[in-house]
Amino acid sequence: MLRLLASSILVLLGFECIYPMQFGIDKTCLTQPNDSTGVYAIQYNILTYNLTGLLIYKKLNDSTYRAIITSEMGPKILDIILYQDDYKLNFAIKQLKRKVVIKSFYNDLVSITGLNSRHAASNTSVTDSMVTINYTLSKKNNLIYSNNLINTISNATYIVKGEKKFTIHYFYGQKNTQVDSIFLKHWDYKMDMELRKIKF
Amino acid sequence: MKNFAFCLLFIFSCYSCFSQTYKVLEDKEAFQKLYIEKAKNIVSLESKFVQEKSISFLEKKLISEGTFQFRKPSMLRMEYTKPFQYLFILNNDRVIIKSNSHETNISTNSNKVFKIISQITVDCVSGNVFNNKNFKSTILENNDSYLITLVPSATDIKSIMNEIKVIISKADYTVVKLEMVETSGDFTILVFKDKEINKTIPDASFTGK
Repeated sequence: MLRLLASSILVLLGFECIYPMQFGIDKTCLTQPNDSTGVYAIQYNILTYNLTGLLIYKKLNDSTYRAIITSEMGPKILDIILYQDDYKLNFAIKQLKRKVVIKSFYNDLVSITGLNSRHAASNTSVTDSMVTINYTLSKKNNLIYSNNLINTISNATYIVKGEKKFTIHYFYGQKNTQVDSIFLKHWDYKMDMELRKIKF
Repeated sequence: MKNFAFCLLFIFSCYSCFSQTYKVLEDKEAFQKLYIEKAKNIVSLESKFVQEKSISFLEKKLISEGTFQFRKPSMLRMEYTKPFQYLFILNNDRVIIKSNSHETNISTNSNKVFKIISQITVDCVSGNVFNNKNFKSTILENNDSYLITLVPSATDIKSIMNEIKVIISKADYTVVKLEMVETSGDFTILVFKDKEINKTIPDASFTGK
């Protein structure tokens, strides 16, 4: 009964339709064309560099997404294709065109969308107030999603060699059916990212 | 329905802006002189704007709108009101951005994209567009307007943009439309409407207070 309740709530949650897929619960919604793209306002701060713009993602197929970040007023800043365990950089402005920055973007985006843990081995634990799913991405890397059933806040923590690298907080809209905003914070260097959903 | 009608009107106005045949301007120098002269008389400018962002992999265009304010020498405020709240202020060499609950105050030097776009917009309004050494310009005209095409000559701008098209009204020599075409072919169009020239714009508009 508890599992059923937890599953039902998880179906209602998620980063559009990508995050629920993490839990292997509802794949049907991914086939709806309206859910294959999303637009978010992005605020990205890394060291002394600040960036604002729009993050636009599109599902190309079940295991590939394309994400671009564009300035509100004009041209693109970043254009990247996300695969489950790799990426292809189409474009990045000079200031961002560093392997460490792009790799960090990639890790952040595939973790937010849940693309990197889609086929990973997982271990689920359920308590009265919390569902936790621990994905083993590799020998040293884990991604742990936890969903608080009481206050409908979901978190994800990316762990490398047992050390917390970054956390993601998912906040839900009034109807609690879709993620309204996302906040990601790195713990090993000064970097954070806030995403807020926009309906065009 | 209202939004649909508005989109249709916007698309039609964009189409009509570019559909009129432009021909080569015979006396480029005379135009530049007149444009600079007219721009000298513009101390401030306020208008509404509609922005259309076209991205190849998206079926629909991203259309947003807001208010534009400019005051000499180089103060610019673009406030997006639909479908999201976003405030961009250029106050000489500082950029203030308000997005959601965040406020960011940075130097234009720390963000190349901001610098390029804000500089071009200010240059267009203040008549300095031909003085920008980062671009080579060509000018065409039709009955109602001038079409200035700016092609970047600086390498760092070339990597971001293919060209910028600016349409200047013959009636008041202000910018009607600005189109930024990226190297990928994606583009952003800004259409300015309901312009008010030399209206008093308070300092507070450019401080973000």
